[in-house]
Amino acid sequence: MKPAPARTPLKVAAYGFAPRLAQTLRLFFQGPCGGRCQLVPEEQAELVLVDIDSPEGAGRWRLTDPRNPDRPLVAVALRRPEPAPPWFLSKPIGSQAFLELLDRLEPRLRDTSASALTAPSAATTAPPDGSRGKSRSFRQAARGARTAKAARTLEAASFRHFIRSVPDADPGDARQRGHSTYDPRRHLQGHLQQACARAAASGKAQRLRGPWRDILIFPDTGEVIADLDEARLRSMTVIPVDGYGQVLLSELAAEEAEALRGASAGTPERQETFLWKVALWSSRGRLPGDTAWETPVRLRHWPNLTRLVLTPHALQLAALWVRRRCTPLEAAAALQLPRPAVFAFYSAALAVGLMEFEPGNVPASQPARPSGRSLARGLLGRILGRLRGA
Amino acid sequence: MSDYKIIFTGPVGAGKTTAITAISDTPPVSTDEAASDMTRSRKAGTTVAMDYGVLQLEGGERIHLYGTPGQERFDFMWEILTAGGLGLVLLIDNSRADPFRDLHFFLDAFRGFIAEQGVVIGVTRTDLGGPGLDAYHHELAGRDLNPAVFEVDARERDDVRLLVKALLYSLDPGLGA
Repeated sequence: MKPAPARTPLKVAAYGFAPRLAQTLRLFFQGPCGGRCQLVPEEQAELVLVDIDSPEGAGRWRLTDPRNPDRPLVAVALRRPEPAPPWFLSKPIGSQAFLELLDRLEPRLRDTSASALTAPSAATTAPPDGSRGKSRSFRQAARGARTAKAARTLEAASFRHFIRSVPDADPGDARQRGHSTYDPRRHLQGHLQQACARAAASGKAQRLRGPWRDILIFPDTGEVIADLDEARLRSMTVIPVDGYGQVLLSELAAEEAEALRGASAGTPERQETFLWKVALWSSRGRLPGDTAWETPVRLRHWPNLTRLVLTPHALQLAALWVRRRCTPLEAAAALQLPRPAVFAFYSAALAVGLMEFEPGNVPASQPARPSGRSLARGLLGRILGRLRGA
Repeated sequence: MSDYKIIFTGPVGAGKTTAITAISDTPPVSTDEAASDMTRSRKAGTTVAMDYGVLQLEGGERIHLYGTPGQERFDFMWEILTAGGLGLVLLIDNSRADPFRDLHFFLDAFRGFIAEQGVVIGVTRTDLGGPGLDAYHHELAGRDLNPAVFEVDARERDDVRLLVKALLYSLDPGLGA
């Protein structure tokens, strides 16, 4: 099989490969694969090869990458494991088998249409070898593992995909501001926030029933169980719910709550983690419609960002908003960030109750570095660059 | 060559050695020895001198990663270690009997350094129970501090990197601008 003609190389990372094997892969990509893909650090990769024969990679293939759930993981092993992973290459990796795999994966990876936001089709989630019967159990295992890890990261490219349709409106133009806002009450987010508030107030479990399957909120454990997979949940957050049916919120008796907790196929997630991502996906780079654009805000404290969907610039925004009070537009200007990134972070932080509007008892943030003794920004920036690229 | 440092500190078994190993570009130099007396129940080996790792920057510059010894009897070294430090990464083992006692002990021990530079807090072993992060924020508010507090698995490179990045942005939120 001849390599495909020249195009932008696919960025591939190798996880669990010994350094010598990784170097061999690099040569393999440049030679037999005709430069169709290139080896990159995992953070930059569009797909990841996982050597599941290695100790590091042994458990990895069971996971949809929690930090980038849309990025395929390709299991590489001497023997096909059970249950079968969605994407698999047997060792030794042959150029033909590898290029055929790329042929199947590349259209999906290069697809930047809106359909990528919706639930993946059976063709993209089912095992490529036709062992569809095993796919459900695999997905269930993957979902459980994802939740256990709980950390969620949207890489910059993925995040841009969410917010690219949102124009960076002129904030001085009231009409254009409308394009940069959304009404959480018309989305799953609003109903979820209402359910969480009721659960907290009453101390009783709540069931939110709508076009999605049940979403259960348990105040005793601070958990949410949603009986739908990540892709479908994401789709549900985008579409206003008032357009497609009734949403019912009901309080559950203790026995019923326990019965549903045991019977649900969903995996428990922390309420904060769940609400944060739902707000982020609903916002898609917009502000809640009732936001007072001129009102300065600050964060009560840093979000637990190792266990939340991490958007680009979240660390910068958290650092700024913990340190001082400012409006979303001022934050965007101060940090020279795209407004949709700021608005998305604001919306998520607001949804989980971290935004503070009035002067209160928020402790002073860490003291600013004395300017006379401050380190060159260049040095900190170089360390940051090293950590990003590590 | 610069001698800038990032200091990792915390009680025995909080994950300092593991965290440095997770992000160091070179195999970290560790001086773990078989644990004795009070530390034996926490981990098999404990750091009696210091851990050392390196972040290599472009242009040959290096950032030294120092882990303080976990045992309080070595605290005379801490002042030496912090000289030239960019900031402090404090790891707290949430499964210990009184993690807030540890928190306050280390915040007191590095009070001057924290005031001059900055601190981030990684709470480890949260899967084994213990207080939630809100309780940590409450404790910190009592000290007029509001640093980043993250749940961290010290074995996870991404967790440790995020914590260190939070430290850098705490020092200067405009870094990426």
